[in-house]
Amino acid sequence: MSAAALGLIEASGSGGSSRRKPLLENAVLATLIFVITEAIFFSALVSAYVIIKAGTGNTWVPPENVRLPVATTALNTVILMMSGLLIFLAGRQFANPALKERVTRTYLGSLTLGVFFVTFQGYEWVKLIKFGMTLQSGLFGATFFLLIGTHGLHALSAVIAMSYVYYRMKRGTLTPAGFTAMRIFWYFIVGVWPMLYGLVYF
Amino acid sequence: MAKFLWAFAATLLPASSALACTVCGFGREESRQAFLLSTALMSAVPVSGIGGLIYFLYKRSKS
Repeated sequence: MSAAALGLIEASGSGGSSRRKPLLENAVLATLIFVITEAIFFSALVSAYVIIKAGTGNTWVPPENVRLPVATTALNTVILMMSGLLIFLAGRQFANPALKERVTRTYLGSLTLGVFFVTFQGYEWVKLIKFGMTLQSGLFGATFFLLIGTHGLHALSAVIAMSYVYYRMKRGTLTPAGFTAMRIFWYFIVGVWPMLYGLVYF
Repeated sequence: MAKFLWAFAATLLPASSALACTVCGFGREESRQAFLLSTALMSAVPVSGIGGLIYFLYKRSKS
């Protein structure tokens, strides 16, 4: 089945001319489909977490001498939200030719906050592992590291991709579609985190 | 026909006590709610995601 039959392209000329442009750029459409599959993947992980937690009842506690860093992770959550806000502003600036010179600085701010989030999460996990909470320490540790670790891995890969996008931006070779695709993925990382934080840390 | 209906009714009578799902018999209210929540979540996310994308493309093609 062709893209035209699927309605993914639209005519741009008059009188049914053959010139057509896509409804969405390939990079954006592919990222949207990818994000949908990621949302399904995370919903499966959340479902498993909720069912395992409910099955254990009152014994759902961290290992002895371990306390989850609720307050510091809340601060880290705010930082991630700010990163999402900055990349949103960068998108607005990128679309506006008058503000285009500011976009690099705004985007760098978003990238820096993203790097901080990943680094701080890694630091917290190292501390938890040192206190004895590992994947093997029990159901609590296993589900914690599986759920939060999966998000962390996604955040890390997104930060690497954001760094590459920054490199392209500095060279002047970044396409609008590439930037939109990057922003969609980062919005997903930012958007899914508060739900995971509320679910796991409380 | 009457015999069939009686037989059908007879199969329904014990159905409420038959736990067909091997993992639903925890006997805990929290577990029951968790299974319901996860079923709802895993049903809604793919449908809303894919449906939302198709609707977005449809609206975009119309505008």
